[in-house]
Amino acid sequence: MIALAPYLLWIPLLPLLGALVLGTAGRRFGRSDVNVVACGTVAGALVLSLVAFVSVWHGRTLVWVLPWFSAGRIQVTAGLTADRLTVVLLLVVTGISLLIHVYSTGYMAGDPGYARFFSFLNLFVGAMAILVLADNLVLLFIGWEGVGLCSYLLIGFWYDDDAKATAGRKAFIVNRVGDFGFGLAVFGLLALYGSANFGALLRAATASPPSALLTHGIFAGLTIQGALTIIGLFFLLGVTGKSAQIPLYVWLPDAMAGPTPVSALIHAATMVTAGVYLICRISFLFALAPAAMLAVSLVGGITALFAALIAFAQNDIKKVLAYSTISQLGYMVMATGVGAFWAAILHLVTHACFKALLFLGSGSVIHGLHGEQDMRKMGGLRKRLPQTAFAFGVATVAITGVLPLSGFFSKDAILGLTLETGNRLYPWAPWTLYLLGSLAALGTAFYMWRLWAMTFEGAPRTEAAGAAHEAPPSMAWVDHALAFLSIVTLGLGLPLAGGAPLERWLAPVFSPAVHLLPGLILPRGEGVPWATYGVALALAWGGLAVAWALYVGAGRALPARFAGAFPGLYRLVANKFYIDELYASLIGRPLWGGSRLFWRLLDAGLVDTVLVRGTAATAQAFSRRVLKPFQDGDAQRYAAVMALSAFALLFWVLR
Amino acid sequence: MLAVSQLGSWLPIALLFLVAAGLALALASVSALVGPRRARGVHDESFECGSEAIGSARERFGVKFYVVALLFIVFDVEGVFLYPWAVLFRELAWPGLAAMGFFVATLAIGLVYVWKKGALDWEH
Amino acid sequence: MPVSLADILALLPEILLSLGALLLMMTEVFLAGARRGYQALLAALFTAAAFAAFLAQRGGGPRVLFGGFAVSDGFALFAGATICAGLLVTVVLGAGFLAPRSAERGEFYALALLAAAGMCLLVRAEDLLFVFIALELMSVPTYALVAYLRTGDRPSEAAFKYFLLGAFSSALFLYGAALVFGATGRTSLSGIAAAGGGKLLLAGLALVIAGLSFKIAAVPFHMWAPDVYEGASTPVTAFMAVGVKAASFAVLTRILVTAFGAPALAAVWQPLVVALALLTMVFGNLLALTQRNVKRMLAYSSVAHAGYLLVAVAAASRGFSGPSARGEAVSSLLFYLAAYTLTTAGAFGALAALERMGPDPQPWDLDRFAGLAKRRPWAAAATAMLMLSLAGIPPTVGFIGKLLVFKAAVDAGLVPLAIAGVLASVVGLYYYLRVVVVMYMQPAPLGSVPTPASWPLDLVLVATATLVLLFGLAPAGLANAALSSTGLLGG
Repeated sequence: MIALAPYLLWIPLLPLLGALVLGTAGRRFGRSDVNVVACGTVAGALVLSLVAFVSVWHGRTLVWVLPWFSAGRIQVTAGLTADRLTVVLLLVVTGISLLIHVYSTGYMAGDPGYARFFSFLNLFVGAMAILVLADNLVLLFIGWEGVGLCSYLLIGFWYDDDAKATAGRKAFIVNRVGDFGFGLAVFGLLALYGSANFGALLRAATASPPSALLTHGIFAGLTIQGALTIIGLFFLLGVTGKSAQIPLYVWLPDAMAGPTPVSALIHAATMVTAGVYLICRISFLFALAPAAMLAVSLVGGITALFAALIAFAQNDIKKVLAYSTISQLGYMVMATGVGAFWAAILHLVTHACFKALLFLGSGSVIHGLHGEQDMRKMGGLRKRLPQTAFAFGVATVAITGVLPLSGFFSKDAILGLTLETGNRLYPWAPWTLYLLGSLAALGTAFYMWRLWAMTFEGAPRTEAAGAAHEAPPSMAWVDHALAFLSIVTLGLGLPLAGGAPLERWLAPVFSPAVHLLPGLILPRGEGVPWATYGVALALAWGGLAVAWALYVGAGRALPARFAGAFPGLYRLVANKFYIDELYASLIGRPLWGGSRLFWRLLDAGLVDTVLVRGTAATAQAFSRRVLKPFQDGDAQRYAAVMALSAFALLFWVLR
Repeated sequence: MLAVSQLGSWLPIALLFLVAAGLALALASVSALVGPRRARGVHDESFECGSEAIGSARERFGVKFYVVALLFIVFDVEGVFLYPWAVLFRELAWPGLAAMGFFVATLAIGLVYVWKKGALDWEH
Repeated sequence: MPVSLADILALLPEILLSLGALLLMMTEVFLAGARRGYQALLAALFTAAAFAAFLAQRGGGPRVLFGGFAVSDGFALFAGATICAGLLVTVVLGAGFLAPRSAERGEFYALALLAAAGMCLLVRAEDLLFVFIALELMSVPTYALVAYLRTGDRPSEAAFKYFLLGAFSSALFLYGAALVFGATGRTSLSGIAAAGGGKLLLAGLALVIAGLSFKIAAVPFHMWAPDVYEGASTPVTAFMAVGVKAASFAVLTRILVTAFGAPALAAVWQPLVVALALLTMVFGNLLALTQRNVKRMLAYSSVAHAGYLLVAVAAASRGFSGPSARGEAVSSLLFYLAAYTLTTAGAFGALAALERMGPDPQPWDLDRFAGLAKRRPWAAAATAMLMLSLAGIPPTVGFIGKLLVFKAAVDAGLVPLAIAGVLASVVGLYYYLRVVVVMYMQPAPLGSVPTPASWPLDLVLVATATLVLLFGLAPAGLANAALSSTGLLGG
């Protein structure tokens, strides 16, 4: 049942209004006023999201169409819609945002840009709500760009530091590459189906068979499946940008330059999962393009393992968590690629809780150590920061899956479903993906327990670590709330008879995709095979054991000896496989050089030397005496170019 | 390329073009071939037979000559408009008189402007 | 030739502008005191009156004036109103920029008003002769304006280049017009359309396009633009980027659609315009990319925007789209012109506000924007809004303009061109947002001299930024006005 729900508009509008107020008048506000505006508007959005959730629970699909403007035949509407998938995302976004707003009131206290920070943070919540609520790709793209802009502004929030401003710029440029893909994909869909509205796309996708041959348009000569494969690959490019997958993941580790609450909210819990949400939202289109789905799953799987490997050798606590985020996002993307959309969303939800908690916990650590981020200068913090250590411990257990908390079920749902419902067109794919995912799980357990051991176990390695102090109550309180969420969200993924609760909740959203995939993906409703749980548990404990042995127990000298024994390999991993350097030399410099080159060619060089002087050279001896050249060589050259161009136009029309 | 049928009517213009180009080329070539070439000494000066060039050509110098010449041409050309009006004076009647009155008034404003600005004042 | 009072009344906006120019010249000789603030007010009043006259004339159907030399139709009125809006911003900019430099003179405003009168005549020209006269009336005062503020060599060099190349382009246009006349025996646009012609007509068409391509600064006729835009004083640059471009685009569209609208002819010029649009979008954006000099960056940006506008011209081709689609293409051009006028005039206003007085080796370096958010938060916010609009990011009017233009292109079957346009504008994002980043995320360089605050410049900044946002949030009014203003080009 479809119900009109004007209040949907207020979910993005409340935080946006808050951002406006804080951005214009915030500097005159006291801290408590800022807190009221920032947290109040987000809390309002959360309440409205809960209302929407209850309404959807009662079987409604909520819509609200805003006629933005219409002129002649052009009608641009901004439609909002909330179905079962949307409300899940809405609750995650507004809920985690509220918690992190509260945390930030403690973390950012005393920062001169207090109001500005909350203004950006509110802007982000509004943009993210638009992204989630949009009923068409154009509006979604506006939200997509909006969150990108906020991310960019917040990464460079402490702009006094040049490196941080550079990190913001890097995130921006890398995301532009992804947006190329997104933009082309939207255009492709417009050319193929004539619409960017999800409802219209679904009707169009189900109306004609994927093998139908297209006769005109830019896809002439391809089947619908072929066209959708191309479009899907462009969407994948967009996803690799926003959700930090190979090859565009490089911006996310640098994005840790932003304040820690930003890392938790934007670069772990919400924005970076936008790509996963996008694929789920248009799952019915991917379902028609199995090759694109395979590419999606492979990108996800390889990213999951690759990022986990890099995390082994990082010593900055936030960098470890950043690579961990990339790795976990890889899981989600891999899940969408094998058609386990619900598992991707499940992992999105659980990851939002425990990864936000990990970041906030690391923030409390950094706060307690007065800005120290190097794990080699920590140690023994379990005794100094008991509250933080407890919450952090819960999150570490959740992500590594040594105990069946939320992360255990969501990650294992993905691993199991790669085997169970894999892409049948490619027989090798299920095992390959399972192997990638399982190795990444082993890696996850290792690097996370390594982080735990280096930070919280043993004896303090510096004076600052010995004198660390616990975070203020607003921060500790949020840590505990998230720890609670990291535990209870396990309920969403419990392998019950008839499917996990979230699977059943989301089934109507993904049923079109399942029906469009004959013989490809068939969730059997009985959940995940039990054997994989055993394997997962063994891997988690294996990783824990190795990390414990190497960083707490008897083998403490081994990592250093390993690094000494294989200096090349260690350097390779510690330097993140030199991917940044590779990109700089392969793409960055040539692009810049290209622009300079064009400038030289078009406006300074080629025309001057080759065309004008070249042709002029023959006549030069003659013209030097007969035609005195102009004093101003430039104007002469410009005139020559104009004349040549005019001749070119003449030739064009008269040819 | 021009159609043959059209070419005929444009032949005179093409011929004119050729003659003009040819003449310019011929004259320039003749002077270049016949004239003595001594690319040294006074021949490199800007004004071979005038006063010696001193300093850069960008230097400012009296703009009065140009101003007067320009003003003369402007008012001279505008004045020519009076002739066709005078020929059709009766046919154009009052609207014509009004239009020409506006025109002359505009010219007068221009004259007042240059006068008050001192553009006609040679000594200033 | 029957000349009725109604014909003369239809030219009321141009008459107002010319009278204003004459009056300002007279104030300069009779009332030239130390205080010249009233001159800007006078110029603004006449400009506003001309703007109001354009608006008041809307509603009536198209009228032919002076026996077919000119017309008064919705297209001309909309374009004329846009030009007057640009002029108004220029006048306020001039007041704010020139007064602190003690360079405010009545001639500045008189020349601008006269040039604007030429522009307004240009957009209603219906005859190639009339086009040429209006083109010169627009250009000659502009040449003089470029040299207006003579500090150092730059302005005179720029004026010289502009004059020389402008004369060249006028000659190209005139030669093209002569060939068209030779081929058809007519100079009126509708007469040319009725007569048709062979290869000679095509040659004329090519040269007319070449001549006008100079005025709109389309690649490869753009090379003068960065030099001249940089050399001219900033209010003049704004005026050129806004007024000259709007008027030239209007007349180019009118000539192409009216005189050369027949399908066979459109099949010749549409690919030509598509090629120019592609070149202009791609190279305009690429060349802007490396500029650290913001004034040059904005110059190349204005080149790039000419490319987007050419997309609309290509979409308006009569041979390839139905009447309603063509109407939408023409209206998208008008909308984009209005959006571009507001945004670009405001952006140059931002530049003028940051320019120091006296000699300065790098007056427009990107560093000048560093830390602006801290020093002058309102100016920074307004500049950021204008940059977003230039980049085409919602919710600004620039986004709506690009949306309408690219939609018109898609409707006209020019999908690849629309895609190229979107990609080119993605490149553009980088250099526009770089300004925003520098303003918000770089501290002001040490020892930097604060620029004097001038309220007219702040007024320009805040007013244009507000309008840019307002028309971006609620574009229906402007879009519908543009849609009902296609005049003789719509049907």
